[in-house]
Amino acid sequence: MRILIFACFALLNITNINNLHESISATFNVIKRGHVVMLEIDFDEENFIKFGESKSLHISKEDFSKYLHETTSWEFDGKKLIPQVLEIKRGEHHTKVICYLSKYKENIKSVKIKNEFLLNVKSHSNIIKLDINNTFKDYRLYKDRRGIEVEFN
Amino acid sequence: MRILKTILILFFFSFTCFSQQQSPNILLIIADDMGIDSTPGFGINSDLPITPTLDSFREKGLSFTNCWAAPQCSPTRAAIMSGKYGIKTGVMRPPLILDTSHTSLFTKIKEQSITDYSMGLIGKWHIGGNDTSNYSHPKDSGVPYYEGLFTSQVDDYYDWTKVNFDGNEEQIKEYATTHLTNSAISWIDNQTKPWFLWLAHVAPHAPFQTPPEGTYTTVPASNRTTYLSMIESMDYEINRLIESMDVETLENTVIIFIGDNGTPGQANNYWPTGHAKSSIYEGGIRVPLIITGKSVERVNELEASLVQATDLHATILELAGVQLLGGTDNSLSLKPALSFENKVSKKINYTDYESDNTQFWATRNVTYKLIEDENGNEEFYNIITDIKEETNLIGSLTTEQETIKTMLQQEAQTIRKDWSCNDGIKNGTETTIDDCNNTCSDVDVLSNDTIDCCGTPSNPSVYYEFVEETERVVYSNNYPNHNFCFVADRTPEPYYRVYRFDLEPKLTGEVTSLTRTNGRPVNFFGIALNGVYMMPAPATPFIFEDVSTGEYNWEWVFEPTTNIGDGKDFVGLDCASAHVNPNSGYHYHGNMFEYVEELEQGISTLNSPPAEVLQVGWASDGFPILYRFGPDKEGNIKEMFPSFQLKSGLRTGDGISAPCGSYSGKYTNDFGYIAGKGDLDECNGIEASITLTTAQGEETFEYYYVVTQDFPQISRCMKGNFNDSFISGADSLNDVDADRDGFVKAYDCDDANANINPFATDDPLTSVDESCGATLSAQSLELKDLGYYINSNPNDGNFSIISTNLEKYKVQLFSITGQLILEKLGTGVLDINNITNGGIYILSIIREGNILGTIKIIVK
Repeated sequence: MRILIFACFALLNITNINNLHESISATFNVIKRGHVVMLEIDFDEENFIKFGESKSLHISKEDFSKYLHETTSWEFDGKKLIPQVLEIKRGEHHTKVICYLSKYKENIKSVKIKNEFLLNVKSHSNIIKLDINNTFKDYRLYKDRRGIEVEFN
Repeated sequence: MRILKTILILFFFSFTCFSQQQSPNILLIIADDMGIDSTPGFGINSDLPITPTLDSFREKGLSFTNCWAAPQCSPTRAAIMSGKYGIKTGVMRPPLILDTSHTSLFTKIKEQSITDYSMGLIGKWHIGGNDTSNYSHPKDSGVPYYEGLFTSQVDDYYDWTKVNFDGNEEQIKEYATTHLTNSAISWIDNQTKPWFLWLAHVAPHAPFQTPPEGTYTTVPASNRTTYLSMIESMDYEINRLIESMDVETLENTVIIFIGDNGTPGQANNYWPTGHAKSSIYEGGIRVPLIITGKSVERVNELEASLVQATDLHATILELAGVQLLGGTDNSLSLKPALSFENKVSKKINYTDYESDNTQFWATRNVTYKLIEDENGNEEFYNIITDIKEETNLIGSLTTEQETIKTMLQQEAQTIRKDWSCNDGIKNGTETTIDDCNNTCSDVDVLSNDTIDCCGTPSNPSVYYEFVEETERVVYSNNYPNHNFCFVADRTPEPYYRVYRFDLEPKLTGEVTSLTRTNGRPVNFFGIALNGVYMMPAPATPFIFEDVSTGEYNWEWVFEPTTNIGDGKDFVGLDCASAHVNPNSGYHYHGNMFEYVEELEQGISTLNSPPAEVLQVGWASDGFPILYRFGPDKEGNIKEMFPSFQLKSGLRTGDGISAPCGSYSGKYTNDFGYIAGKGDLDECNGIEASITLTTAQGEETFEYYYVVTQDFPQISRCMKGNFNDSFISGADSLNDVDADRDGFVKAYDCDDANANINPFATDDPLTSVDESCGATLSAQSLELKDLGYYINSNPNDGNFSIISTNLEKYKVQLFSITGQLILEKLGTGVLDINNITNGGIYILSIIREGNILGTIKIIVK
């Protein structure tokens, strides 16, 4: 197989890196992937360590699962779903957690979600994205709105 | 010159003829004292007149079952004439005069309609007092033709005084309903252009007199039966009027029929005593309203929305071609409801009147009605279950009812003192519909400013292109090779992805949008040649969050390239019209200024075409992307202009659920595509041949996209085969670049040595393959990169393999000695249970006969 190199830019100057860690939101992406529904969570690692009852400076599956189960609940068509943490991907400041929610069933009629994840952080909000039933809806939850109930027609 | 004049005259003549041909005739028929209980087809009362004409109106049109009027005639007529409730005009009882400072319906049609309407009012006036000296009141109110009854009623239907066109009194011996019908027939017959006729019958108002023989069915024997026979006679006369019109006139006429208030007490046999005309109970204010004929697409339908006689003002204006935002004053246009359901946006109805120097008013929602007066008296009814209003709920309200009562009280106060923020009408100081916060008047300043460069790259910028079979493949770290800036803590960081697209792209005849149907961005447009992806539509939900549910509205998104107002603050594009999304890297939204200047200094401000075009990237369908300039169909290089234009006028949103104010460019939807306006199509591309020198040598394409200076700058759609590797939600490479040379392990044959990677040059003096040879296209991605996860590991002998792919796959579990323990085939989740022996196992995942990878499983 022919491999061609087209361009290379190696610029190594040091930039002014802003080291702020404040995150105003975490996103919870409920998405159909293949034959399953996954929950993909993006959040600020430092906020989680400070405010999310983490026992160490690194997020472990156990700590995260416990906190996630304590602060959120997920219900599709009246059935409670327990997110199973499959992977934790760490970025510079943000962390992405991949969770399994359930096998996918066509035509989900209702979704009920409660979410208090990091709502003890000032100005924090949680963006819930529902990418199921061939539609997309998204919602913002914050200290005065800690849950949503969505009916799909 | 003479020929030009002739052409212009002909043009204007044809335009006038065309616009007039399209304008409907409007016939408004008002019955005097005809309540819903005396009209067939509205489901109330069984003692009804026989009205075949009105029946046919209902069968061929739309009947409004929840229409309120004022309890007496003058306030209702004044409301239709002015578009305002009694509290706004002062006409809250007969025979008060509607001051001519309240611009009349007739004057508005004359001044605001694009059509030159003939207009007349025949019949009962009664908004000019009872004084003969005020006979000029119709003319002063903008009515060009008037004849009829000036006061509240005739003393004798067969001997009554008419004010004629000249303003003189004339004694009429003909039955009033017949006479007014004859006048209407004659007036309509004389019209040569679109017309509006307000025909206000005096029937079936008292005195109750037997109508002419042959015009009624019910035998007049009592007040009630005589009253019904007078309605039947009016129905007969309306039919005569309709029959008098030729087919063409009738087909172009919209007919509106309404009662001005409820059935009078003397003829009432349905409502409780004291609940008929002149009361603010349903018997006094619930009136029949039917609209049929031209413009009415809903046939034989009932409309239960809350409407008001006042609404006829705006409805008639819109039918006459006057453009409104919802309506005007207190009048909501019902025209949209004539074609579609759920188009009446008024959620609370209101009416008022005055009696014995005390003002009364009522408000209602779908279920409950609140009656109040100036003395503080209140009544509260469930008018769904108690339409006769016999059970006053005040004193025993539930919490929910108390809340509704408070809401109705507040709404009534707002309507009486100001203008409702919930009526679906642009009125008062609102700058568009119900914009009570007045944010719609904010002027958007189109800046196109971006944030100056404030940082320089600290990582290599990698664009690594190769070919696999029929696809061009690009590995990139989406990191810029030029200066940039950022907002908050969003500094650019490497974001590793692999993009694939057609090597030889073809137009498919279909357009693939970057967004979902609701406007939410979902796809990248392309990849720039420095490895930074192009995502022109904003991908973060940030506007018009529903205050109740928290749901975002993606129909309207801030247009990032125009950087207006709060859009600029939020989007924050830098000197390359780019910015960073959390977790998904740096990307271009607009004209890529800093990047293109890096490629060719001065290109962004060039006034004439350069000798050679500048390719800046590849679209997700494989077609090339040029900057500003490109060859036309004849091969001449020129600046290519987009075919989008800022819309004119006001957005129709309410400022709460959708934006209001003037189209300014603040939102993407402010722009509209106009085919042929510029050189480029709706995807900012052009079907023209272009030959480029690319990484693969000289290549020719028959279509290309252009990054333009004006909107949309970067296209929002594609015309070839969109490749799924550009879906924004597709996972990035789950890997790290340990030696920070720009290549993650899967693409770096030695990720511990920054001098070894695909960009390195092989050193003939060493035996090391510094450039990673030809092995790099065979990626060795981890299973999770391919969408396969284990839940959980280590485990107790029970675990699952979770695939996020659609395809079938097979798993094989081996002992550490290589013995096959089990295998399973399926999709999605494959459960492995009851592995009883603790230890280490090897799990292989196989798809289409290929082993995708293996993983160690620990059973405790």
